[in-house]
Amino acid sequence: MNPTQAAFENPYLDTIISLVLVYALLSILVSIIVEGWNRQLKARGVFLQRMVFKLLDDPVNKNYGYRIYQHPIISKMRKDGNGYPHYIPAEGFANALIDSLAEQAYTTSYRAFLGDSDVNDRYSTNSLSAAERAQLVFKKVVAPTTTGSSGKELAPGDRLVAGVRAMADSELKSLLANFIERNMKSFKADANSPEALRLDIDKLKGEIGHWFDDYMDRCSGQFKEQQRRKLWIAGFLVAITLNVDSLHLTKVFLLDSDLRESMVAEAERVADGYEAEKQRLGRDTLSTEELMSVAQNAMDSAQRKAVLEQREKQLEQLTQVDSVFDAQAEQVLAHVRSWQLPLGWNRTEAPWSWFPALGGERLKEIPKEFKPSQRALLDHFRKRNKGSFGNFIKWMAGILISSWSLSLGAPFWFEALSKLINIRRSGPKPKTLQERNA
Amino acid sequence: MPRITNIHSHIFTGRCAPDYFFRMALPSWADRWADEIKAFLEKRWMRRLIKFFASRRGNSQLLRYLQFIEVGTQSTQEEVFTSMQRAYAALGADTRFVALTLNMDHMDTQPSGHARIDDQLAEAERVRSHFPDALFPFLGVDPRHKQGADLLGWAREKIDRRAFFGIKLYPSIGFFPFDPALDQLYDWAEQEQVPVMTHCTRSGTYYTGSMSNVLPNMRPPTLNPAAAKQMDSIYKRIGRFRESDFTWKDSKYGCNIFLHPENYEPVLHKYPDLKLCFAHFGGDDEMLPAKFKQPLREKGIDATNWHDEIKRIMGLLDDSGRPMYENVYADISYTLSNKDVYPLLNTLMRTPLAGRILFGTDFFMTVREKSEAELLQQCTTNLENGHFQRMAAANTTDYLRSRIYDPEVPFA
Repeated sequence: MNPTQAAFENPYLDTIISLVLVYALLSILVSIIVEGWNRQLKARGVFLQRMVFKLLDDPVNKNYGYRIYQHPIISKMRKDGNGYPHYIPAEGFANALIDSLAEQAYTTSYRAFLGDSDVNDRYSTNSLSAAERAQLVFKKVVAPTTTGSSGKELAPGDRLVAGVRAMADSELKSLLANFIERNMKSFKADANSPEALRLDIDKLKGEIGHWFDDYMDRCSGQFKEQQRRKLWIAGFLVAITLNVDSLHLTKVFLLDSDLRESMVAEAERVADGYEAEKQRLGRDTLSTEELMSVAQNAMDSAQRKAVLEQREKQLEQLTQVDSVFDAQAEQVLAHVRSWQLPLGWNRTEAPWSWFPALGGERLKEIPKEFKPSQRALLDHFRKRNKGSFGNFIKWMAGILISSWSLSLGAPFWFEALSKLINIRRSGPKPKTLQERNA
Repeated sequence: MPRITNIHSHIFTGRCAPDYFFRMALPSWADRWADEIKAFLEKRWMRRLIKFFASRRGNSQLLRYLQFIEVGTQSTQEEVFTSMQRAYAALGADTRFVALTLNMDHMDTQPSGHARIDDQLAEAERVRSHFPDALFPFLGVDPRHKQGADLLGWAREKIDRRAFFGIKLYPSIGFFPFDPALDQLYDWAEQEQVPVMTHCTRSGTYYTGSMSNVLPNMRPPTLNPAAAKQMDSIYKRIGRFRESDFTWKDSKYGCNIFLHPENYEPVLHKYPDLKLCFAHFGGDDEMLPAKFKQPLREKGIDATNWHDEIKRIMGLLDDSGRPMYENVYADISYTLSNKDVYPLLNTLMRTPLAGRILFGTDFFMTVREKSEAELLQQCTTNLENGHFQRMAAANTTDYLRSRIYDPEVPFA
């Protein structure tokens, strides 16, 4: 939607939008931490391996998942000795599975030979002379596993059919047999010979590849579910490291209309960028990197710079107060100015301000020259900066709310932001700051 | 000239072990973080970091443990095998290795996504096809996997085509060696002289679930009810294990019941010519009882010294004064890592049992104690008068020889 279209102004909605923007940006950080964690513990590779083992586990026969991980196509994808590939292309999976199944068409045995003569039967019945025994050698013999095979070298498709036939009856065997049946095609060796059925191996590979891709789609949902705990821990780490107190942020956004307005303006840019990127890529969801680029683009825009400059001027005016507590107010506001948001660890901010022995500082009184709206904001800071059990509980609750919110992930918050901006734009257009001042 | 054979080694990888297996190697306080610790230790940089600090602090035990993990976490059996083979370069290129596969599918009722026994065997067979004259795997057998004729058919198919050369039992995983499900397999193994190797030391892998799953009653079925005297003694011991909280609640100690050497007497009573090897010779803790604490002995649950018990079974004589069980062997694997056992081994090699004591190392379990090359060096240095040659070449050749495989015949 065009940002110039009619919209309605509601401080509560704007507060929610501001908060959602903060969550959207910080949850990118959470995603980066979890990604790093997964990379270190090879979590994606291990998860993929478990899922492939589960898919191809046939208790009656073998775990073909284990076999395909031994296959050179897959094993060569490992970065180091004990790692697993993070991703298996469908074609590689299909080839490795077909080879592993076809391998069963033959059995290797070692038989007793005298020169080129197979004397294994005589060896078994112990009817060889001592001189003959002295010349014996065990040689490798590869023979078809299934009975009734001609013993000739089989064509790849026939080898696969024979390999599946060699399996004991199981669910997986039925599934593979169905795959094979569906991909048989009529074949004529020459114009005069009768029609015969032969496996269309390329078509079969395609079908196995689709089957694997469908399964992987379902697995990616399971993987995300598994990541919840990690996301929560990373969310908590970000919340505590950056001191993201959601209750405090909400209050500040409600009390500080200027900050709220600049945040909403930025949220609109981010949401527009997000929608544009989705349209450009033709996808419903964006990766962490893409979301980061959306956020950066919005923050780097010229319009953003103008808002920042305007805001800095306002903050300077606010602090032009001749009062004994100027310095302290300046410190609080300088923090807001430097971060643009009341985040981070600062000696004039809770919880540091609760511990004067550790350098924490408090606002003792609100300068009378402050306007009521500014006074309310500073009053909130003053109250919050006092060390008390109630404040501690509120701060902890704020951190935990932030942790949980950040664990929902950047895609969720970007989507929420986009929807909220649309709601905001559906009412009458709000007055700008200049219009209100006039 | 018989070739040197390491009769007891392992090449299976961490992928073959159940997901809960790693917990057994950890102290109990670290149990709940097993998955995370495993993931970290599998990282080479993490092991290097720990090694750096451990070497600065002179913590050799930790260093060896990391080495053990390093071998176990290699991704293929071929990598494990070749790393063992390299240590034997000094002995010549024709050393043979018996790799014991292990069926770990029934170690607990917990779900696990590991590579099961058939997958482990298929991989071992593939490695063997690359080293046909060097690698001689044994089949890991568990009566809960297959029973009776089914088990026999499964094992026979593999041994008849010389992909595998013997049978490996690991009773502490939760079964008795006198389980009737093994009867037909023993019968065939005795006829064909196919060697059987069984774990026989109080330490090692064990069933990690509840003892009630694997020891549901006082009188488990036996393949040889005729051996009433032996079974009576076994049943009495089972009663003591079930009554004691120490063994009933902690399967680490409880699973000793499955390993007791006396459990093989009903089997040998029925199949006296069965080629059976007691691995580890009861263990160094049983060979040197004065140096080790034995909780089950101290608590009066099981006072038997397993090393003495194995020697007793090996030395049993019939009414005519001939050995009753001439095909019962013992190997010195893992036990050989303790320097103090060598005087005892030298003494044993001067007794009539000398022809039935086998050399094996228990690679890669022993990496926790010493490197394979160090073990080999220690063994050849401390065994006197050609004892090493006899244990590692002549005796192992006799043990491996069956009606299916003649160790004198090379593989092309």
